[in-house]
Amino acid sequence: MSTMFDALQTFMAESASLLEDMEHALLVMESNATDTEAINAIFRAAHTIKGSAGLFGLDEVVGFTHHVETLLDRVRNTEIVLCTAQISLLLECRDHIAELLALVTTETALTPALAQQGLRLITLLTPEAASLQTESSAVPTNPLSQAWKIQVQFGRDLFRNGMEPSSFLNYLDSLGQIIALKTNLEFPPEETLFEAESCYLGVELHFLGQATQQELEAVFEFIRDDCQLQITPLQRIDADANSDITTAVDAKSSGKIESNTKVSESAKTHSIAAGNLIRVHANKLDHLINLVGELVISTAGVNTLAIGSLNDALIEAASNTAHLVEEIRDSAMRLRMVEIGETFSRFKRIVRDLSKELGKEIRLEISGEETELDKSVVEQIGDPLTHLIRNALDHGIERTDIRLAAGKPAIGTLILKAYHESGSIIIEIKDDGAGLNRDRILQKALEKGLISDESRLTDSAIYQLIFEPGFSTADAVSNISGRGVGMDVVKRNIQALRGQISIFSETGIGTTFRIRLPLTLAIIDGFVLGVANAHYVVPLDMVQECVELPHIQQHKSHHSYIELRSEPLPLLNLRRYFNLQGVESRRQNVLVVQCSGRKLGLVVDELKGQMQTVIKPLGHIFEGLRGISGSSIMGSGEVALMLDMPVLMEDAERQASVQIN
Amino acid sequence: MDSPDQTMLVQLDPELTIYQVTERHTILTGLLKRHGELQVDLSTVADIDSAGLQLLLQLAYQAKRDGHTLQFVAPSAAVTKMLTLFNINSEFNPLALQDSL
Repeated sequence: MSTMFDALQTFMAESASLLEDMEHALLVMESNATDTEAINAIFRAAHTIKGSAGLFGLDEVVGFTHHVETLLDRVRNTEIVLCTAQISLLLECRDHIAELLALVTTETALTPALAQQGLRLITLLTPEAASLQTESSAVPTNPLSQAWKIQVQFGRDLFRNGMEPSSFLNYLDSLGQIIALKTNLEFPPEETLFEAESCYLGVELHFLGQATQQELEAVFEFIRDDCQLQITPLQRIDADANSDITTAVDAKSSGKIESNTKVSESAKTHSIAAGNLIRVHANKLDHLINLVGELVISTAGVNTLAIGSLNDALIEAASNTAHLVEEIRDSAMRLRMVEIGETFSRFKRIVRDLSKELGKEIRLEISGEETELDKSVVEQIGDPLTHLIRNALDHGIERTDIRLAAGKPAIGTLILKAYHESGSIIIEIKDDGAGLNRDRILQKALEKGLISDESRLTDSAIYQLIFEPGFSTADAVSNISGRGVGMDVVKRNIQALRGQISIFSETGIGTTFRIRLPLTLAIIDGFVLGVANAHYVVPLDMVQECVELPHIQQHKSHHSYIELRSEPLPLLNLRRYFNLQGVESRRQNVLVVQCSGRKLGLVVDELKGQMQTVIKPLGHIFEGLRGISGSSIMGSGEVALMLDMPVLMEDAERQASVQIN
Repeated sequence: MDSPDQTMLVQLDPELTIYQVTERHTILTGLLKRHGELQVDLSTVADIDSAGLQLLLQLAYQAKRDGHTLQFVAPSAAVTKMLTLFNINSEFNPLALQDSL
């Protein structure tokens, strides 16, 4: 049944989110073990996972999580305060629960190794082990068993939603004892109205156990909206309590419940408190954005035709439409934006574990978590960032004794920063470690034959050598890094995202990796240039100004610089760069662009103005094409090629230095 | 075969779950209306869920209203488990709160 599968998927997604909360809260507790919010978050996570897992019959998850919950309950009752060792243990338990849930997804059975791990953790979780750390003087509470009357009338669609009433009863029975039960049937008055797949069942039962009312309500959490539930405490179990239940056959002919059932409010608000969020399939979002892209192109076409028609009313109408389309475009793009903070949070755990493993004291500073980027970029940037962080921890930051000897603070600092800058997103990984060893890198590169002549390489060019495949200057190849298979993959991954990575380093002070990624995806505001018969597009936010190429410089074979407000502006002649034929226009223009803090003047024939454009990536055939990062269709139907500004900057620089030499 | 003084005996397929209940309902209701008297052998039912149990309960309920005779015999272990859980007697009538099988 697909609804059952959907329900399971929802459970898995929510459990993953809860486990994340749990990890986050545990890390918070490492610095403050009495943080009530964190304690509640951890308990809530374990408790909810256990409850929901029970409904799907995931006995192993239930069994294991139960022990975690028992310990957490004692923390919640302030019987014990968690120590560092216990927090580490709970982190391990969290991982174990994640592994158990992974078994569900892959539909594999429990492996002996995993079972062994579970047993080991449970042993450590037991009160005997925990009591060694007991601080509070409070007497451990021993809750008495309590009797409850539970009335449930299951909803008509319960079966269709993939739920099975008997599993609820079985689960209740596992929490305590069902000491009496009566089944109620709500068959419709007319036989023809009976549908075998609808659920007309209800139960009334007496339950005896140590569970609290919330715990009992939680049993039915998954079907809250699908049933009528009433849980009331019973003072004593005797004939009085049963007096309202009479005959054996109790099939209700009216189809209505006569007892007063009321939906428990607290359970309802639980799902609302989670926030006004909707889960949407990524495919649907992509489809929508594709359509918006087509709409943009189409509207541009309409606009062009309208302007050509010289019909004022039409021009105005087309312009209004264009504005609306722009707004839709912006909204659609924002749907895909995700805060990078989520990715950053993952690293807290990695840094913690890794620094423990390496025996180094390192703290992580994060800033710019609210910086948004496209969902797909966020997904793909995780791996490269992880590798860079592991590298910084393993090779960058020195051991405590070395740091102290060098007069540095004992605790090393790793800074993870994200921010927007002129149409790009910048992610920085900065450490205050030993810095890159320029000479060692050079030596290794010469050894491996990666370069032949070292004389003309700048420091930054030398650092870039570490991205060459097979390169590693690590003396000790550790478990974590140093095999030389990481950095080249990092660079490739970043380039696949149309980004770049640069390195800044100072010996003894530290190293900074700076990753630049384009923010703009498919639809951007661009500026169109005309050269010969070709059209090119530049992202509008890179455009600074337009100037005419001074007459004296026209038609000169080498004009690589002009003076702009008494500052040199390097030029790049696109006609020459792309080797285009055709007659140069009499007046040439220069579009001044800014990228990565540097300026460049693009020499072109025509400045065609602004255009909203949908950028499509180039096909595989064009992968080696330098200087072009995508293509677009203009309102006129002609193709415009998107310029890869960073590459053009690089080439302009190289061209200039060649000329100087 | 069927004759006025012989009760029709029906054996059920091993599965009586949400997937089969609609079909079974049509068949068994039809048989009951045609013969007026039916004996259903539950020994072969290996897999039964709440929907299956509900069906049997409804057939018993409806038979009574229509004045037909419906008997369930030899419940399998799976069926008995369900009956116990929901506190239903062998006539497929829910028992009162204080009674138990």
